[in-house]
Amino acid sequence: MADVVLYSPAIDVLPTETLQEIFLFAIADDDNQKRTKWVLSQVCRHWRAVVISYPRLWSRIKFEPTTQAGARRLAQTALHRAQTSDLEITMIWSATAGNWAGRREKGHFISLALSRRNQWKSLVIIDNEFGVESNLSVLAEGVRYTTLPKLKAVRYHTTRNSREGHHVFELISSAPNLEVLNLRNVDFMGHMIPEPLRVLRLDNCTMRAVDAVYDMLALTPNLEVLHMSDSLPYSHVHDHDGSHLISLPKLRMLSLGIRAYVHDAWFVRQLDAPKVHCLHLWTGRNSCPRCPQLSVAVSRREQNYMSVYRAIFGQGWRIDTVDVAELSCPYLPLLESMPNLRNLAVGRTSDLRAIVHAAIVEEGFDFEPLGASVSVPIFQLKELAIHDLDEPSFLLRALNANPPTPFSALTHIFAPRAVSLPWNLSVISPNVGVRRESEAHEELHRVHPVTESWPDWAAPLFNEGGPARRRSL
Amino acid sequence: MSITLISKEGAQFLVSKPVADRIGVVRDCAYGADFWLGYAVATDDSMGITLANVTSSILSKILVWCEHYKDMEPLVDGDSNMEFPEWDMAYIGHDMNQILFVLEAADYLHIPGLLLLACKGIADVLDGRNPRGICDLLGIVMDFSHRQEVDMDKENGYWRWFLHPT
Repeated sequence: MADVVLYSPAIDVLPTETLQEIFLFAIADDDNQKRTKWVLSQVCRHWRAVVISYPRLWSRIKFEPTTQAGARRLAQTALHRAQTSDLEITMIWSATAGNWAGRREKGHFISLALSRRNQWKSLVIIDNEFGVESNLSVLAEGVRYTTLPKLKAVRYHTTRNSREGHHVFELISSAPNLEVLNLRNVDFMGHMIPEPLRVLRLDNCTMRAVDAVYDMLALTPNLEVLHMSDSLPYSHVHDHDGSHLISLPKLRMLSLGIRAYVHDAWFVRQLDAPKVHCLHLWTGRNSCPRCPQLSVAVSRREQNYMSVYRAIFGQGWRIDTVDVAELSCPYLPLLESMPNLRNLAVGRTSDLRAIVHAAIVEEGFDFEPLGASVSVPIFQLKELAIHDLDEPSFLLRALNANPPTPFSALTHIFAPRAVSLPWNLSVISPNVGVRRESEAHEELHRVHPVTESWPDWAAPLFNEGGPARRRSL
Repeated sequence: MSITLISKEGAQFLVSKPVADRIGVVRDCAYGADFWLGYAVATDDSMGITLANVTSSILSKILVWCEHYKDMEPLVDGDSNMEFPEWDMAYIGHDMNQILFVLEAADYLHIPGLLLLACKGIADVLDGRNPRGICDLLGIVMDFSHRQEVDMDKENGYWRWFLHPT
């Protein structure tokens, strides 16, 4: 029989390490409104000592343009308390900083950040100014003759003219250990990218120097995630011996915007990436080559989509995860070629009709196969993510259908807007007409709990450069 | 093999080995060095361990967590942005008093996963509160020196109204 000594608990006698752990969680979603770390430092003498003497709490610094007094002093204090810890710096340059006071504050913060440049771990810049010169060149100039050994991630999103964004390449040329690069609306000039790069996200980036981009991709053998909102066009080096142009042996996730260009399929075929298992596809809604009503006029655009799907099929990837902005019938041939598919993210519940071959009818929603030639998909989904869970009654039918559907073995349903939507909403859609869905919502939540979040395996929502959720309620 | 845990009030809880393995103190007491060296351990069903400062209610709550995680690994380390499973967040709840007892018991019993979850629970309860609100919630006395108050005044600037509303 073992006895343990008596212990008297109270918040103010918690070990310092435990308090620090609590504070780290508390500042995880800190922002300039809550200012949690400042709040925690003003509770009592003990807490203040713990907060001030714990540099990790001060390592995340966000600068938003403001004309309010004291912002600069707070930034100085925060940097001082961060001591030598790695810094995660976020700068938001918005149109409100266009006035002189805002610009002066911004300049001060940039010089402050540059004074600690060897501690940068991540750098996020949202550049939405207009009418004034970008400060990106100032920042790039400040790191020109130095190295940023700790810098692992850079994100630069801008709404400015894309040609002004090329300074970001001067900046990352000083970061030999960069692993994540996320650019939006930047004129991608194909500058050399550090070899350790693992994640490359190019959103709406103009590819002017195509050959240089191909060269750049050839020099990033460690790439694991590649997102391009536009596929690369033909390059001058495309007259080759038939082997793949781009060898990415570690690539596991491909996120591609498919615009129905002729070169889309060509780009997919150039990839030599045997480990790809996750696809995020970004296309527009298009008509169905199998629908009796529409197949009479399959356009050239649809043919281009189909050629992309054939190129993906030809790669022989073992795909287990797919995220598509909208699942319309043309995706079916693609999905049917993926027996290992386990995770699927779609925009709306009605997109699932394509999978179960439900006819689009005005009244009722029984599954009516479109024809004997249509085969049932051979995959069994484990996780399903639906951005707009607008027809829970349909999903219920699919879950409980006999014979089993690809949804019968689902273990997890993600629907970030499942509860925020009013359940008594009357659905008005071309698929189902008008119907009240409140009972179906309750039934679905009762028999199959829905997680109100977006899964990690799907593309980030909205502004993160994933497939756009084109329609919403 | 099962182990009997005895709470502060003397209540006995019979737990299986996988459940008891989640509790570091119990593991150490029950198996001693043999456990760590990988040798066979005694299989005495009557083995009892008194946890003199864990009440029955908290011990039973902790055993629910241990039972849940007997076959899988809880989150024990990571960055502050990590997402806890929904079950964990529902388990820990928002009752500050109870979370504090769970935290202190988890610290005392050496259950790192539960300790981390309790830290997250407390952080969630503190979220959005000003210093006065936190003091009131936790019964903490603001014991700043005059010098510190002057420093804080300088820090606060324009947003003092949020930190110290009058």
